[in-house]
Amino acid sequence: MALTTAMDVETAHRILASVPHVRRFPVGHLRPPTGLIPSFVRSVGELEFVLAPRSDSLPGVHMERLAAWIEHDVGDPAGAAEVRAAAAAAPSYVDACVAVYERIRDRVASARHALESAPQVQAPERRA
Amino acid sequence: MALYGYAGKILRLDLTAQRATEIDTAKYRSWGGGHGLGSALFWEFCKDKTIKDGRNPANVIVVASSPLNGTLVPSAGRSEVVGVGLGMYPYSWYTRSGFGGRFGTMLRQAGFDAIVIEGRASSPVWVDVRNRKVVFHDASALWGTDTQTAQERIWAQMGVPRGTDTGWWDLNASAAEALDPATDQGRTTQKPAILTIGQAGENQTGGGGLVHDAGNIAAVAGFGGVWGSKNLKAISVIGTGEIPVADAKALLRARQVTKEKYVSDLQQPDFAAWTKIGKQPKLMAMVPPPTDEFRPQACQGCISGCRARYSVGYGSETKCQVTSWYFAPSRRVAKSSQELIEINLRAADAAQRYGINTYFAITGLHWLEHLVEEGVLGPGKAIPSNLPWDKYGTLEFAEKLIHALSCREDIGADLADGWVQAAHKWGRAEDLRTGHMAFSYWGQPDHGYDPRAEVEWGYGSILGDRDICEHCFNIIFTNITSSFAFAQPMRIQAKDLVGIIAEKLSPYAKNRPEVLDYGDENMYSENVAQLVRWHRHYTRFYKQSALYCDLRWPDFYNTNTPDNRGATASDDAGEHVWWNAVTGDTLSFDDGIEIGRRIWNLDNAIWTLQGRHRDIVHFAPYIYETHFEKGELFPFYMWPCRDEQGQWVYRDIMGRTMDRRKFEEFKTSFYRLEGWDTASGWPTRATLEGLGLREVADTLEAAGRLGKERA
Repeated sequence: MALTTAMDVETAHRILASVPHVRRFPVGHLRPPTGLIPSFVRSVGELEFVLAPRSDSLPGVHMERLAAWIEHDVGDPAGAAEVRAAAAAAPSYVDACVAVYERIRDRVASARHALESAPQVQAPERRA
Repeated sequence: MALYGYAGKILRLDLTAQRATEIDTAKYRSWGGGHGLGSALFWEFCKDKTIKDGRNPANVIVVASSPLNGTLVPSAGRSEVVGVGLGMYPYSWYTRSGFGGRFGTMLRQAGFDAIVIEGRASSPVWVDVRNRKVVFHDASALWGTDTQTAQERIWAQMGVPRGTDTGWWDLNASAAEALDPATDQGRTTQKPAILTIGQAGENQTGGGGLVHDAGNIAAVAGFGGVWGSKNLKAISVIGTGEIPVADAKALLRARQVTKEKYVSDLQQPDFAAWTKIGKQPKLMAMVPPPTDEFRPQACQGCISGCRARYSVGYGSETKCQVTSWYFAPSRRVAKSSQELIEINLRAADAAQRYGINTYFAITGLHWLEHLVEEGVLGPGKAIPSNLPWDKYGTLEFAEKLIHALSCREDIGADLADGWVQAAHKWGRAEDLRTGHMAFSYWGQPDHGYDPRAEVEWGYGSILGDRDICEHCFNIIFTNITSSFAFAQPMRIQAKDLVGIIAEKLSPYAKNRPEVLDYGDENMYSENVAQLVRWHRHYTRFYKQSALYCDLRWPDFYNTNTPDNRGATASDDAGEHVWWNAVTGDTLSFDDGIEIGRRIWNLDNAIWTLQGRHRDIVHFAPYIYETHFEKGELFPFYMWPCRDEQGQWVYRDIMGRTMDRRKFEEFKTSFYRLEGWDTASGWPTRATLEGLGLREVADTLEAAGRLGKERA
């Protein structure tokens, strides 16, 4: 797993912390032939599970809005830019999901790495 | 004369007197089976049809099978439950639920097509049904046990061989009869099929369901809570009888045609085929299998195997949304995909053991989380709760929440009588306006298909008695959306797709593709009213009375066939073909729709007696006052529509809202087409008598609730 550029602790905190419920981000899972399960996430870390590729279902994520959410609600403009770029370069929605998943996964790994390297900093709340 | 497809008898259980009697099925033959049979029996035996709470002792519950159960008909192995429900809002209607497994087949082999449950036992009982012999047992020792423990103890009490070392056992062992040494009469290798309640039912909660085996639950409608109010813990059925089939050759021919024509070629499977009956068998868990070591499991006679038994020992037999009710919270704490799967499947197991409907939890948890976040719910808050909210997302929290909801503890004390009732009690009715509490109709949660988008789902639910949970048309959405997602060419263009489907919407919408226009301009039209009518009547007979599985039927279009026509309504393997082969009837497809219309009208007569009037037939306020935002999930939410030039296209319909006035106009169209009073929504005498329901019209008239004929 390739880590993206070194991340400051403050950004790492924002990536791993939960946003308030009112600023949650809606996601879903489409499970043909029957299921559309609506849900939401409150942290970038949760997106890893939503976007993880599966053979039997599609993640439901509006990429443009996701980038805006990461930029404004999470507070990670660099991560948002990565999501925008990955989604724009993908030839299909499914390809975009895979590409964005990889960016998110790496971003979260970078955040965890940044916090582990700064042990004096208190770990972020997993739930607000 | 043989009553092909039927056991021939219906069992009446008078719990008050602890007496079992039999009646002939023949009298009710015209209602088919399942729901139709149940409605006819409810109408006859429920003496007070004004009751609005299923716990009323006058309530009558019917558990019914279909003539197709246990035959070779593919994907027709379910059972139906009807009666007045529990926990709905503002009233608990006469309603329905269903479950899979082997109960319906075993009931018929035990000699009965249905069970009518009346009265209330003075203390807990369970009922043992074996080859038409019925014994009431004291269930005091079982009261308080979960659904799995209850079944295991009953099997043990009956002396059923357990584990892998099963063998023949004698159904008459506890009776006086000796075995006939010349035959296997009375001996079987099968376990009794048991339908039981857990703590959620015993405590008479609106979430209480009826559970059979490990993971088949009749969840919606609170029938478990109704059983709890009747002190009925379980019914066990087993038998060695057989069901006579009218035309075995025709049955095998339809099976062969299905295999060769409609089902994906197993040598060269088309995993992306657009079809329902022809799909590859696959698991229906919303989370991936926890292990590669599992055995698929199906309802008796089904070709799907949509559930599994896993070697890991958890998550077995459960499927669909039950496996994902805790998905959003658990993502917060899981450290790996495997842990996420395990939390969710163990949370599913907890729900099945307590016998509780988890559909409330998916949407309801979003609402509870909102209340916690607002600071009104939690320890010492306005809505006090001592649940470990700091462990929200863990399995420990899930199990404590399920326990509280099932046992009327903590917030469960208020939520047990209905989530919307709790919202009003807590002063949170405004949440139904903002959509924080997305409970769309009759106190039940949004299903994921929104009335503002998938209109036939929403209209069907509000014009009926519950969230319909009928996936007949949303396969259009899932197929189209999947193709868009992969940026692949459409297997079928919009014009061709709606044309093929409309061919099968006989009689009201036959060859009228405009009924499938999901666009803004068409969503309140008479076209859509005809679609909703067809859907209500189709499902009332074929899906809920013949008990064809929702996952496999109807099969409108099918890319396994050269002309893309699916099996539904076809003359070689359509729904009526199977029905006729088993029963010896000569029904056309349209005849089945007409039986469904008759059942639907009887149901509406019962709702009318309960207090239904068109004035209360409306959605929760957020449906009218907020925009449909599911499109936020995907960059598109595609349905067939006609564009400004009248050409068929797949179009994104996200962002719209529902116009309250136009919906009222839609209701008027629907009532008029149904032959109901447009002012009240009540059935009229002419309509009821046209369906052979004069006695029903007389009853409504005597109650002052017969609809008026209007020009």
